[in-house]
Amino acid sequence: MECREFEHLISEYLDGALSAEHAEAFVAHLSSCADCRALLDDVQAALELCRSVGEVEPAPDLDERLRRVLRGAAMSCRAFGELISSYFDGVLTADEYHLFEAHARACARCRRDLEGIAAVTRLLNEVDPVALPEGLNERLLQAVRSAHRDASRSWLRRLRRRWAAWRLGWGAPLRSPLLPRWAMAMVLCAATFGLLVVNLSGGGGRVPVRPAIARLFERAAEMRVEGERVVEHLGQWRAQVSTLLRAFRSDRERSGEALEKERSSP
Amino acid sequence: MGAKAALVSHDAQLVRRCLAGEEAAWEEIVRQYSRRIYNLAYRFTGNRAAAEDLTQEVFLRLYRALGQYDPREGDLANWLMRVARNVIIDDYRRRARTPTEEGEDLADHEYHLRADERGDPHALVERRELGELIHAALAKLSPELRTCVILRDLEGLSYQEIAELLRIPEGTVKSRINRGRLELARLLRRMRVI
Repeated sequence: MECREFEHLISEYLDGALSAEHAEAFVAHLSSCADCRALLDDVQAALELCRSVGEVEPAPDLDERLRRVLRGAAMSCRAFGELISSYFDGVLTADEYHLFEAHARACARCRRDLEGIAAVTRLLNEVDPVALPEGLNERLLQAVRSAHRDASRSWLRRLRRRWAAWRLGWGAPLRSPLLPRWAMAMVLCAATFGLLVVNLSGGGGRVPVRPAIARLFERAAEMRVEGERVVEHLGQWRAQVSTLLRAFRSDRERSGEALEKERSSP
Repeated sequence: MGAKAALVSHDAQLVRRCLAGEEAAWEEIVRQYSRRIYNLAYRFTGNRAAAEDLTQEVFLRLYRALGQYDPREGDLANWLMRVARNVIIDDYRRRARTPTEEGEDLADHEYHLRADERGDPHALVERRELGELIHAALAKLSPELRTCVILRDLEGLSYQEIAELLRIPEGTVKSRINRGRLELARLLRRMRVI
């Protein structure tokens, strides 16, 4: 046996895995070659040392940490995802909270999600409110004032609005899907006629009809006033919105032009 | 009931309790195996923090895979350690492909004596230094050789078990163990440890 082959077989010799034939040749070489003897001694000594080193001492809280990890594994990733918002809002129950924390420790993917959301929330909180465009407050006031003026100017428009309000208000039930105006006119005529009859023939009759009708009329008048007020408000509001929109558009155009100019300038 | 049968039924029961979500059963598994798994992880990583992360990883894998344990295929300890070795070796291979820092905190550890000398602080220091030297020498082996030497000489696996675990032919295992041991002996001689 040559030294090269001897070297190849050292491990199998030490592990008792050599065939009888190989083992015999191995031992024969061993007794004849001092270098190979020294090599075998070294390998044996190295392995003995390795085996003697024994165990290292884990951190004292390793077991506790492992238990926490396992508790965390008991919560599903899905359940974890559903609790993230409540976690940030601080509204988890104590049990939920511990499971949640344990799962975050146990599951790298969920931990990344959680950290991502925390980072985004932090960023959002850091963003300063956008400054108002210059002169916006004045323009708003101006818009409100002019809307008010417009609303009180045209009497025709007011009349039309009142009519619309009336139709929306207590006139609404009188509207018929067919020929709405005619139907309403007929109903009104019939009502007026009825009232006239009641008024003429009344005068302390046995049935107290008149006070009831008077109350009805009073109520109708109140409702009409209310309707008018609502319509007027609506009109003012619409005018304000359109003025604001105009102001906003012209602002945008102006800033667009400024940008354009900036880009085109060298 | 024989001792072996008693062990099998104890294992089966422990697993059943774990699967039922009983915390005390998991605590028993942690208590029994954390040290062994941590040490295995430490031998492969040579790094305290990495060994701890890896131990956690192993327990998570065990948690998910425990339902697959079949008491008829062998006792729980073997099955657990097989899972642990798979996780640790997979991790080791991944890191071997993307090498980063390695073995930087070997000095932090307290090495325990297998048998005697516990009371002697001088011997303890010496032993600790020796442990560091040996881990440093192991860390210098190439990943393939180191894996085989650790599994054979520190974990006591057979050639066949290593071949199955690493999914390589037994002949390759033999030659890697042999080369690894020779290399280790040379390193330790150069470091004047032997």
